[in-house]
Amino acid sequence: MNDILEIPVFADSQSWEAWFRECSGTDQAQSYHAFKHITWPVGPDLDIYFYLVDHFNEHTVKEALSAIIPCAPCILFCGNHLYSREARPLNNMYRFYLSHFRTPVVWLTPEEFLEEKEIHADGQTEEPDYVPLTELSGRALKKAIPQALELIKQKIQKD
Amino acid sequence: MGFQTDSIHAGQKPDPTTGAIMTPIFQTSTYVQESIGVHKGYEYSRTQNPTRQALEANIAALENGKYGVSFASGLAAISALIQMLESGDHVICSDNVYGGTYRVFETVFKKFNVAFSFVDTSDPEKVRTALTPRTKMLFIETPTNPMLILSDLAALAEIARAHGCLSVVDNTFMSPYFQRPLELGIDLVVHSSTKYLNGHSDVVGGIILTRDDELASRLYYIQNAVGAVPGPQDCFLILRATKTLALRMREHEKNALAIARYLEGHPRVEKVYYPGLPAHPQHALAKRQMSGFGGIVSMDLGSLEKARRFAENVRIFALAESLGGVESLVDHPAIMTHASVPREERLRMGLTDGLIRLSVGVEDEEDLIRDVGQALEAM
Repeated sequence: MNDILEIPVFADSQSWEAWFRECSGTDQAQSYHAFKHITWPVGPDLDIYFYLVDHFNEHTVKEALSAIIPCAPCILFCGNHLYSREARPLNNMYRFYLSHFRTPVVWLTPEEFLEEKEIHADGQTEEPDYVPLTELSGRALKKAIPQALELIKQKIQKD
Repeated sequence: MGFQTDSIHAGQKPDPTTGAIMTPIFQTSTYVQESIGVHKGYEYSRTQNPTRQALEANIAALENGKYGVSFASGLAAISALIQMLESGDHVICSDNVYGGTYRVFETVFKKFNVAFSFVDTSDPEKVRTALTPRTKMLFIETPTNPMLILSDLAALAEIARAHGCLSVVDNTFMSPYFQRPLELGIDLVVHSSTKYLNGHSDVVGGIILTRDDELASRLYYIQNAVGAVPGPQDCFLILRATKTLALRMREHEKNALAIARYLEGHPRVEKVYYPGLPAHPQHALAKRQMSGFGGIVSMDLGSLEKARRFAENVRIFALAESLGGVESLVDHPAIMTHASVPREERLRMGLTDGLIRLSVGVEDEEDLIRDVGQALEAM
């Protein structure tokens, strides 16, 4: 039996689903009540299950993911922008997530935003760890996700 | 055969050597073999015991199942169900579940990388929301202990089947006399046979029932490999007790309904929980999927102090854990049976410090009502 890593994904547009499918080499996403499931067969003994959350309903997220999140290696937030205090759905979900869960988060975003990144003094405690995407594509995700996992591994070792 | 006929005869026949009408207690650990590998079907009592097999066949018939697999306690039976799963599997469990079930899931099996979601199974949509690709079991308790919330078994069996996961019902509260989940499409039924099945507060036991050949085979393997089997004397006692299950359940229900109606009109009782009352929010579902309402009544007295005074002042009801015996018991779930459930979680379920659970026995109805009444007055 393969080892399975389950990774919940919060993304700010439906386009990400196509990029995750491209990254995973599959045309299929299995629909569940609260998320879409995409399997990435990483190697002969390892699959990654991405759970792309469909609706950012806090109650549903808690009901659907409360058993998964504590076991996940990390949670992916995928934004076509950097995190800020601005009232956007992904930012709001990120703040909700931080107040309810502890599993580390990695925020995937195009690299050009990171070059312009300024850390807001009042936002430092909730500032996510970013991993840059060279472009918005499955190919870029395929490189970024191992980087995200490595980043979390190093953080855990440091702690 | 009818339920009462099965309860007296199923799984049993007169002893072939003496004609004894009661199944003997085969109090033996091992069996003499004629030659190496030549025996009468019995090698070692962890693997096979005739008294245990009679009990298993008897309760399987009562649940309208095909197989029974018995264990040394209800929690040993529940553990065997989880031992059927693999590391990484996910279980959806009723959120208002028996405290011991919650504890074994959260503190024992979680360590083996089995994930549990505690979900309000009274709402099938919430169950759908909690399904993941790794969900392999839906564990339902209905009515729940002690809040007596019901789940729609036919609807949940369908959700589980469509997802390809096993459905399990803890049927301890109703007994097969009032509810038979296998008939509603559920895969596995589990009981603490300590409770109504035995009914005399003198045995601790558990049993799983199914109609499925493959599931039964896996469970017999776990029963033998893990070894949490009941002793033959305990099996005999439960087997004797099931002969009167129908008679007892009718009496439990009659008394419980009378007490629930009495409490409903009592000014010192803030809330009464009993599925047999028309005021119960799921009374219609109770009438649809059960043939009676059982012997458990819960009530909220408003505070821990009032609950304590009530429990100290009852005279016929005994303050004790457990339920389902012929004698009436009073329990304070927050401190006794459900202490392992975190306070915040308990309050969310409505399990307040003022909640009292009554396991209504088969004493005279008038005596029980008088006893409850004088304890309420003494609060």
